[in-house]
Amino acid sequence: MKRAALGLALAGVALAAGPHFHLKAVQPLLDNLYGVMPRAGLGIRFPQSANFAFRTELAGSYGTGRGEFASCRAWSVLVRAGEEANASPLLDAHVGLGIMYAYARERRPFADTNGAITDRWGSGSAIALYGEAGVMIVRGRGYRLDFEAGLDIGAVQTDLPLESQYQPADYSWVSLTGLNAGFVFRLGEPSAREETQDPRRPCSGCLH
Amino acid sequence: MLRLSALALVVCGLAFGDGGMVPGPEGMIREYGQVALLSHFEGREQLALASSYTGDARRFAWIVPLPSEPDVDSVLLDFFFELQTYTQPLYRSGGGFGCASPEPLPGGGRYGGDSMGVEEIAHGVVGDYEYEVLRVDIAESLTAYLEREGFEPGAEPTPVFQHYLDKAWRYFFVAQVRDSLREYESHSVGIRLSFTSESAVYPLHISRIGSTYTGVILYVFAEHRMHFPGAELWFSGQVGPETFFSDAGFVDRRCRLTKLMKYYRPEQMEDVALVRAPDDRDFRRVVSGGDWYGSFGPMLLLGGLLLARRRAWR
Repeated sequence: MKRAALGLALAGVALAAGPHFHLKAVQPLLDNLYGVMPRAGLGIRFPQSANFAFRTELAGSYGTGRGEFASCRAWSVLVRAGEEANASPLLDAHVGLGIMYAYARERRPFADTNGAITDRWGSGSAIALYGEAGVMIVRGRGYRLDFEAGLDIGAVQTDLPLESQYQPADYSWVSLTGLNAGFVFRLGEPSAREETQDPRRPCSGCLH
Repeated sequence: MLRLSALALVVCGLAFGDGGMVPGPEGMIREYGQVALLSHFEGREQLALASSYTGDARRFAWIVPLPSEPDVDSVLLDFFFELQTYTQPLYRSGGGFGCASPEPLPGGGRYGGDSMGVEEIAHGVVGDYEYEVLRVDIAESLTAYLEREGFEPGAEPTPVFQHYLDKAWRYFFVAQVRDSLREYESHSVGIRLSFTSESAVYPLHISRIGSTYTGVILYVFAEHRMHFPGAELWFSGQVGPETFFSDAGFVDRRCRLTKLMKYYRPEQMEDVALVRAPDDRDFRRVVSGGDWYGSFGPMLLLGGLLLARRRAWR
């Protein structure tokens, strides 16, 4: 009984923290090595008020090289934190801006002078920026589904050396700069009915 | 137009070269930066060469030893440039260049007689060059032949010629720039030699004559990815007759193109015997394109935001 109560309490706290999950596609803008990468993440929106929320999330993306670079791999783990503003009650839309810490690993083939080609991994981390905007698609009892699109700006330099005959040795990098778009599934959201009863915020998306 | 052609010559001159070069009496010549195309299928090798050189010699002999009697033809230098572009590394900021214009000239030859122990078995004109194919049995006789033709080989080439005779390579392709060729004319045609060879070989020992520290780039067309000891792999990929515009029959089947490079000092130059690489993986180098905005963009943006905030406080 005690355990059940504790569980319920924890679930209540978790829902109050505004948990959300997202699934997105990321298109790198400055990297012609990798194609579209899937990204998945989970996070919370806490603390939050009627118009603002501090959003923290953990996300990961994975990409494979295109064409003859098919053996290339890149994956990254992002810790993102930023402020989200529900700027337009009429559209139930939001915009967000924040900073993220990224850890990335990359695998690329290297050729040695014995004729062998081997794949080598390298990794690194960096701080980058992001901005995003979203709009609600559907809302139900305790959940909400948004479509969200954003732009990340940054690059993670790895410890993989880059070859160049024209300049001193450099290191490879995984570009984080790219457009992303996908869906965000939020839990613990008030339903349209509950929202209209909430005196703190105006009604949005409901008929009068 | 003249200036443009001169510029093209300088740029192209930096790119190509092969064989050994013996100057005439009025100057010196140094060869540098060798690029060759090589295909080997069913015991038949095609070797495409283009010459480059620096020096004040107005006349020189360009010598390529071969294991069997060659057929001589021309190859467009455009194909060299097309290959250079096709196999270029992935620059994350992109890039590429080309020069030279197509100006094919037909090859030809006729059989001649004996001369001082050197048998001239073919001669003709290909592109910018007049050539002879010689069959040689004694190294000294080839050196003497060159002297008789007005070149100054000195003592350096004889041991090199002997090296080839020792391994029964008795055929020597000897070319010189046509007297009628003016300096600013486009050097747009290279030499294509087709000959029988059990394995894919590249005659590099001959380049001890008249070479400096040289980078050798080989484009190899074969059934499999190819390699030679110490070479850096630059490219490996499947190609076919439809891949290139200017190959003029050099690539007549689906095969694998391998681009290899190695630097040599003259005393390190030995004939290259190409062997099959451990696998047939595709490969292209990835080199830095200097993505400064990707790396520093966030910092610039953050700096801008802080600056704007600071101004707002004031």
